[in-house]
Amino acid sequence: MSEGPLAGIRIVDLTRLGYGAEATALCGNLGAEILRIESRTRPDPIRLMPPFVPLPGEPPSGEAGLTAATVRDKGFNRGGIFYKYNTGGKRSVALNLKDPRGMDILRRLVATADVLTESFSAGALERMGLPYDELRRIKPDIIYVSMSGFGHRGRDAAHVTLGPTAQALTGLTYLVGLPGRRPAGWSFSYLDHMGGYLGAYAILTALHHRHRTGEGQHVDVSQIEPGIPLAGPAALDRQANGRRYRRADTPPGNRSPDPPMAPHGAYRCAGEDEWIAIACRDDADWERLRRAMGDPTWARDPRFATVTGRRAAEDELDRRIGEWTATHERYALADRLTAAGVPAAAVQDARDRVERDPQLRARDYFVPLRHTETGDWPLERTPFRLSESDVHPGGAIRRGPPCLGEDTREVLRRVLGLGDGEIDALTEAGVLV
Amino acid sequence: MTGALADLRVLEVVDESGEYAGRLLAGMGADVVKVEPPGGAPSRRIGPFLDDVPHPDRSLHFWNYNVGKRAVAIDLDAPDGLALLRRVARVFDVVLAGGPAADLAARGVLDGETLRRAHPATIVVAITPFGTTGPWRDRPATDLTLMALGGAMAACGYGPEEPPLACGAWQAYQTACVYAVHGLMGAVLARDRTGRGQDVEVSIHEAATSITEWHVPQYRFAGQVSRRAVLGLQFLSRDGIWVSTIVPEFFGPHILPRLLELLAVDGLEAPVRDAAPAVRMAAIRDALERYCTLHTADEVYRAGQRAGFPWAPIRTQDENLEDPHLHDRGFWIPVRHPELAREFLYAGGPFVMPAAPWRFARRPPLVGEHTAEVLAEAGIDAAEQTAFRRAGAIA
Repeated sequence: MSEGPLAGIRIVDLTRLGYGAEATALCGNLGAEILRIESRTRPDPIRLMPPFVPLPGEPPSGEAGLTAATVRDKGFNRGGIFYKYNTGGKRSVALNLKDPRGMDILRRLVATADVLTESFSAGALERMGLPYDELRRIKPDIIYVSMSGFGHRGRDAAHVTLGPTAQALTGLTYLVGLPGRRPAGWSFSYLDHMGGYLGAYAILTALHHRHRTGEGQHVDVSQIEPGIPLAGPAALDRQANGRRYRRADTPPGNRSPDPPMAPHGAYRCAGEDEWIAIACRDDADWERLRRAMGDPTWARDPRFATVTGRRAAEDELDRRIGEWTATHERYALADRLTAAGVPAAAVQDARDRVERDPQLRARDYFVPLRHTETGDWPLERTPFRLSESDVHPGGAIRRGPPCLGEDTREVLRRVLGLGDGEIDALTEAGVLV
Repeated sequence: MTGALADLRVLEVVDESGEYAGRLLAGMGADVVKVEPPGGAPSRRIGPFLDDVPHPDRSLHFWNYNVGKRAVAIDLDAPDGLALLRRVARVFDVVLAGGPAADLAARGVLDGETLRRAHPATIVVAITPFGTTGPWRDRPATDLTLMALGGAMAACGYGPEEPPLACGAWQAYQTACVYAVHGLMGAVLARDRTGRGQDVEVSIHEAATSITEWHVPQYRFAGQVSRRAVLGLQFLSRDGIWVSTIVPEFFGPHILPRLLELLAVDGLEAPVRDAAPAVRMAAIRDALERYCTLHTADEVYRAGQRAGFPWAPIRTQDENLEDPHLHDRGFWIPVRHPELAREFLYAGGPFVMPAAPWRFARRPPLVGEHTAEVLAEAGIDAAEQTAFRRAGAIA
């Protein structure tokens, strides 16, 4: 296997939290060198958020009594969400940007970079003295990717987001729930991932554009716009048919009005809070399911023979199927139904994915990587593979997420040619913290 | 100005799971040609429909995912269908294939090695439910079952007494499509240096597994499993719209005083200073609940954001058609449908890229609309097209 597709690309990375960090992690997986600029004076909040990472031999941290304060005291390297968003062999450079000497080092790093990423509020980098014009002066073909909540252009550019904010606005929160009830929404930040992945798409397409034209540019990413197209054709329905999506029969819960599919839902299985998802794509799937259930009398009811009939009697259909599934173990039942040709799957939680899912295991989805302080932990691979190029969650250096400042000295020596004496002096002066 | 991907010619041979990938490429300027059967892609039968009249050219679902593409209709089941597809594929430098792994193999479009023997730069991207290896490789799956496996469903819903909830609008497919364009762009950037194409394989199952934020870390590091629950701090506003009013204390010590100031305008108080976290959260919750009943969702949104809080109304997608900020950014893109003498606003790009702006070159294609021109571009002249037509490979 040769090098990663982004080998030789350097990204100076000022992103924090999930959404920005996810974008550069993806590029690190593709082999880019990510220089994550951080500081102990203003640490990334996800370095201090639970779940906390136990050291080898320690019990799971749920029982270890770690808190944000103790984790800070231990050096900022035990925040578990940080591990999820900072794969790709990112390097960490500790730099105090409040100090002009810190800003000077940042500028010198930018001069060597292909891409600069940040996820500050709109205008913050400008106020730090690095507007796009200045970045371009330092590095004429720099690709500057800003990832603020609402983007830099537009009247609400000062608005801020977290994943749930963006999900609420875009229509994604509304989609999850039952008709006539409050929105259930997503209990996690889906748009930290998807916003970040589309930020990565911005970086990748801008690199190709630079390859073709020699031009860099400022790409203005927001967390809102990646989400809106993910919420279906409701905006077109409104324009075409005057129909609003906010209405009594939305959202459809687990059911599928478009395209009409039934059964289409989650059904309780034997065990504690265990479920199976079953989807019949058409009448042929329903026939397969009917036979797999042992051809019960109720299922022969002609109402159930067509998808229109099954949709019309879906409450009863779901109740009947649920009575049947309740006596079965979810994985064995999914094996049986899929063997019969019916789409079905255990509803898996995190433990199931880590401990049980045979497909993830067979494909080495979780890859153990060395973290300098906490030892080997499995991290998630990208869901795509290239046949000829290296893609790896440890990046080119095959390492887990960085400890804060772990690579400061190495980067300043290798990239900027600083000597140990200079680095020691800067450290002493509080610039490299 | 052309799009950043204006040099890519993409042949899209996918089922409904892969269409979003082609859309993401088309918006960036790639010439995306969709292969569909002569009766039209199955996704053309998915509603809602224009004027609620079901017709392959009126599916709004199809429009949403296929705007900007061209379409060529080839019957892959006809005797010469696959041979024709292979000939057409030769003039494309990217093949985007999607559907069950077994179907792809049968269609022969997965064979990057053969395509690259003639054209070394060809990139083949395959989006399949489980990838092309592993014990579940050939399992039938839908977006629902893949979201179930991925973990999102187990974490969405009203609570333990009620079922896990699907997340609507095909998030597993769409997530996989975004990864597919990452993989493709990786291959394109590698090709920019080496001149050689390669194969990209995407597993929708893995894509759906990757999106649950802290859940896997929480199990690995803390031994705890997230269960489904409604996210906290969502309240009903005066005009009956739910509002998300997160109070992110990690933003800094200014957050709580600012919240108190905001509440004080309405004479509301929350005893938050020096209170234990649980007491403080309960007080905040009560005060915010009352605050929201006094204001419209938009008022809560604007006031909260003015004070620096990441608050937002829980909108439906179409309610963003009126959002002035999105119009400032040129997010909604007018696309003309000449045969209807109408224009529709389509959701635009995920970012603003000034040197290579997101645009859609054309409205979604009518069934097989570009068959003759695409075949001609592949060097298949009128006489030969007639022969293929007689053999039933094209309509």
